[in-house]
This record gives sequence, structure tokens and C-alpha cells, in this order.
Amino acid sequence: MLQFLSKLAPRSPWIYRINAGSCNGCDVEMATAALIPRYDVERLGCKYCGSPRHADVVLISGPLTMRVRDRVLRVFDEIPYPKVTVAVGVCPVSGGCFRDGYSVGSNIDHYIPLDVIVPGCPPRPQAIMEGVLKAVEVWRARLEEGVCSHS
Amino acid sequence: MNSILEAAFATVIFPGGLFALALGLLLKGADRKMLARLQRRVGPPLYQPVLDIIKLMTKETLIPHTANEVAFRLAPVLGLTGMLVTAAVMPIGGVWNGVSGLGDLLVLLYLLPIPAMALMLAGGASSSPYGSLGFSREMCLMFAYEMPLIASFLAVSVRVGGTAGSVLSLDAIMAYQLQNGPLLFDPVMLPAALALLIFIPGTMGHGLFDIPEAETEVLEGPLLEYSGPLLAVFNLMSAVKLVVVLELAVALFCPNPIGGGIVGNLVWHVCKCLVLLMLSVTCFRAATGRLRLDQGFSFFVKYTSPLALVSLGLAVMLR
Amino acid sequence: MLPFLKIMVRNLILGPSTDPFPFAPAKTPDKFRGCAAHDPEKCILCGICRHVCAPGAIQIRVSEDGSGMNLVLWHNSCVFCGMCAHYCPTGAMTMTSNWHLTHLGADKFSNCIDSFIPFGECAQCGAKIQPRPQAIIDKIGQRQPDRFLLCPQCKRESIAKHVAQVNHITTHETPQETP
Repeated sequence: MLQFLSKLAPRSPWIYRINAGSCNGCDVEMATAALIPRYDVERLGCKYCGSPRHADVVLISGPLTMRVRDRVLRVFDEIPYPKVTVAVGVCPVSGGCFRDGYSVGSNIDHYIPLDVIVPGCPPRPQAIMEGVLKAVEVWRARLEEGVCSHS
Repeated sequence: MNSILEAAFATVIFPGGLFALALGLLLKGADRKMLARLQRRVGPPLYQPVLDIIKLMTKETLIPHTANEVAFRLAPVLGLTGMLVTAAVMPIGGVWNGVSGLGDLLVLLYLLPIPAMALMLAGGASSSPYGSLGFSREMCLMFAYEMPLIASFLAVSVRVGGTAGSVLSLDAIMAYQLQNGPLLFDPVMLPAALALLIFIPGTMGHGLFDIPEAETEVLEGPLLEYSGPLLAVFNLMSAVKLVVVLELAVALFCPNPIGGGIVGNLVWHVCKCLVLLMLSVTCFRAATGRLRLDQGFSFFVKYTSPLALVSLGLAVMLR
Repeated sequence: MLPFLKIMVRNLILGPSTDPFPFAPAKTPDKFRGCAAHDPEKCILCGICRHVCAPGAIQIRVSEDGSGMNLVLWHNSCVFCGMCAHYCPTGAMTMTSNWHLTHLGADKFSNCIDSFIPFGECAQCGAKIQPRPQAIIDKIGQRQPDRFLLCPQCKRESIAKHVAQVNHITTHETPQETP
């Protein structure tokens, strides 16, 4: 029974956006991927939720600046399992144009495990949707392995 | 014994329980789909709320360690059971005449605020500042929208009672309408119908009145700390509340069946609920933003309650 | 209130305006700047792309056996600005219009271009020089085609011999004896 439910669960990914010091370019693209009628992401069952406790797929943008690092980690810990992390843009992985800046730390992968990466500066809304679809596949694989209630 | 069995059947299977859950989720899905079409989007499939509930069952439950755990877990359960009982006493024209002796406007007046109370309990038990903000907003708004509700209840009961005084039983209201035609076509009751139409999005928290659970202002208010199965119960409670409120409006103003046997009348009832949903909730959500709390309060006090009170006054005068 | 009703009715009549992606392929404009591509046959190892790269995504390193250089472009650091393609003198760096670059987190360090460009050889002494693909020969080597394929040492000797010949200076192996 739970197996059957786990098959249906990835059809409603709820998305939460974390801006880890980004320039807001990727945030604009993430907003357009859901809200405007042209790239309607609600067809896939997605919904942007206002609370990290409700989220399944986390979209992180921006290099992890020093000032925001602790807060991002706190918010990330609030998201319940099973969760999938999607890095939007090149900043979370390598720092992008802001690499070697005085306030930019190392890449996010040192703190938060990144599951899917969508390169681009900023990536196209369609590319972000591809990233969400890949995240749903990763989520499905995790549910089948049985990593549901892992703390 | 018979009435206990009848009440149990009503609460668990029809029209409360499974029927209300199914209808509620279907109405919510239809609302999302219609909203998307009004915004020129495609929108999720109709059964999307069911998938949401299933997904929430597979998530883990996180409880803040400073929260009151008993109240935290109890709030959604209280809300859902209250709503299921309320759905059980709703009459459906031509199909179900309500649980005998329990379908009373006063009882409904006590049962209808239960989901708001559950949300407030949840906000208070969450031990988060956004939770308490949502608590106070919900309480303030509840005071506001109870006013047109009570006024239109009184208007309907005085109108139906006529010279015999006011009638509070839903059975009698339905019988009156089956005899004299729906109250919707009665020009005296039209302002009260309008007031009830505005009450529906107010109590559901959509459109202009998306105040207690404002996503961008208080980060989902009372529901901020909920995750997993508890949030699923809250979603189910919201779905059954939608059914209850719509069925109440239909029962008070146009419960007349269409005469096609049980199945035909049921389908007609669902169609009426759907049309009322589109008019009151979906168009509101698509067209309007969100009011401030004081603006929402004064909207109900300044514009909605006078409508219902006009109806009440006319009904009293023309008794 | 009324304008809203008009808009709602119009929206219902017009229907959804959603792009059919991901259930159908998405339209990519013609000159869309997607990820970069490198052609090692045309590369002359000038290093201009590394110099102008905004996020520093290009690295050019000598390979382990010393017979050429490796150009590594990491797609997860490239911001797709196109400066490398704009400044490349031979057209070895180009921008494709491929934006389907989504990959799993485990693959992030393998998501790169790794080209090996072998050094060229001096036509006279066989020393290692920068490669001379046909494109650069056509572009700037047409004036002195035979001198173009020499290493700097041989080129200096060739130029010196030419200057001496033009100015009628005899060249001796040993210095001239003073009369």
C-alpha cells in the first residue's frame, strides 16, 4: 500500500526557494517559471509554498555569502525529509562571477548536498523546469529505496 | 438506535465522511483548474488535491521543541472531526433530509467556527511569532465575518417563519422552499444571499480575504510549522469546510431538487455547489488581491452586514 | 469590477497560452547563447579566452607528457557571456545554442570540455611551437608563409639573414680581421 502511495507522491512537488545571496537574476527566472501563463509549472502539480516545512523540492540560487550562511543552513534544516535540492544557476556550484570575492565562501556543496544542478546565468525558465523534473525523478528513486523517514 | 445508526452513517459515509472528503477535494481541484483557465494557464489536473494529500502522508512530521505538542497534534484532528459532523447534518434537496433533530441553525452557528478555532489553536501552539500573528488575524476576521452570517441566518429564519415567528430548523426551511420556490428568487432575500456569497470567500480565506494565511505577509500564519500528515489533515479540513459552507448556502437559498431520483438530485446538487464555488471563490481569487486586516474587517462591517440587515429588516416588516 | 469581468471572459474564450514544454520540444531562438564548444583543430593556444573569461571558467595547462596543452572549460562556472567566442582569433571557441545542461549533483565535475591541443613543430629545427592550424595561416601567415612555420629562434635567424642579404652585408662565421 505504501509502495503504491510512494509512486503517486512525486506527482505533487511543492517548491521552496532559498536565495543564498544571489543577484536575483535566477530568482526572477524562478518566479517566471511558476507564475506566468507561458511556462506554467503548475501543470506538473507544483506549487510555491510560503513555509519551508511544506516543501519537497528546494531551489537554491546564489553563492553562499558569509552573511547569509548560517540562516540558510537553519532554514534548510527545517525542510522535512524526503527532500531534493536543486541548485539554480552556476553560483551555488562555483560562485559564478562572484568567485574569489571577499564575502563569498566556498561552494554550497560543502554544507548542503546538491542533488540536481541547472547551469546557466540565469538558466532559461524551461531549463529550470527540466531541473524540477529531474528532481522529481531523484525523489521517486529515493522513495522507492525507502528513505522516507530519515532524520 | 435507528437515529444513532443514521447519525453514524451520516458522519462516516454520506453526506459527511467519505462523500464530503471526496466532494471537497474535487471542488478544490476544480477551483484550481478554473483559476488557471481564468489566468490563461493550463493548471493542474482535477485530482491534484488528492495527490497533494497522498504526498503529505509520505513526509516526516517535524514539531518545534518549544511547541505545545498535545495542542499541536490535536488541533487538526479537532478541526476535521468538527467539520465532518457539520457536513453530516447538512440537508441535500431530494436526497437527504438531514439528521433528524440536529439540523438546526443555532447548532450550525456553533459548529461553523470550529475550523477557525482549530487554526487559532494551531497558531498558538506553534510557538512561532508568525503563528501568533496568524492567530490574531484569524480571530479578528472571524469576528468580522460572523456578523453577516448571523444576520442572514436571522433573515432566512424570520422570512420562513412568517407570522408564526422565526424558524431555526433546516428541515422546515427546506420544506418552505420546496413549497414556495427557492428563497433566491425572493426579492426580499436577495441582499442576504449576496451577503452570504461574500461570506464564503471570507471564511475560506481566498481572494480579498486571504488574510490569516497570507503567504507573503505572515508566511502561512498558523500553518507555518506543520508538515507531513498533520498538514494533510488541515488540508482535508479545509476541503470539508468548503463543502459545508457551499452546502449551507445552497440549503438556505436554493435547495430545490430537479426530480431525477437520488442520483439525479445528487448530480444537480453538485452542479449547484460548483457554480456557487466559481462565482464566489474562483472569480474572486482571479480578480482581486488581498486586503489589509483593518480593511477586511471594515469591509464586512460597512458593506456586507448592512446588506444582510436590510434583508432582515424587510423580512420583519413584511411578516 | 466590470473590466475584470471582461478580462475573465476574454481569457476563458482565448484559452491557455502555455508553451507545451515539457510535453513538446521548446523553441530555441536562432542566436541563443547556450554552452560553449571548443574545436582543438583550430586552436592556437593564444590564451585570449582565458584572459577575457568573466568567471574564470577556462584553464589552459600543460599536459602531463608535455606534448601539448589541455584546455578545460567547466560548464558550471561558465556564465554563457560569449566573450571567449567573440575574441577568439581563429573561431575555435564557439557558442552553441544548447541549454539542456541539467545534470545530477554527482556529475558536476565531469560537466566540462576537456580538449587536448598538441604543440606544433618548427619546420626547421623541430622545436615545440604554438600550433599553426590552417585558419591562422590563412589569416596572418600569408605574407611570409615559409617563415610563419618556424620557431622564434629560427625565425630570428631567417630574418637576420634576409636583412643582411638586402643590405649587402656579408655574413661570416668568424669575426672579420682588422686590416
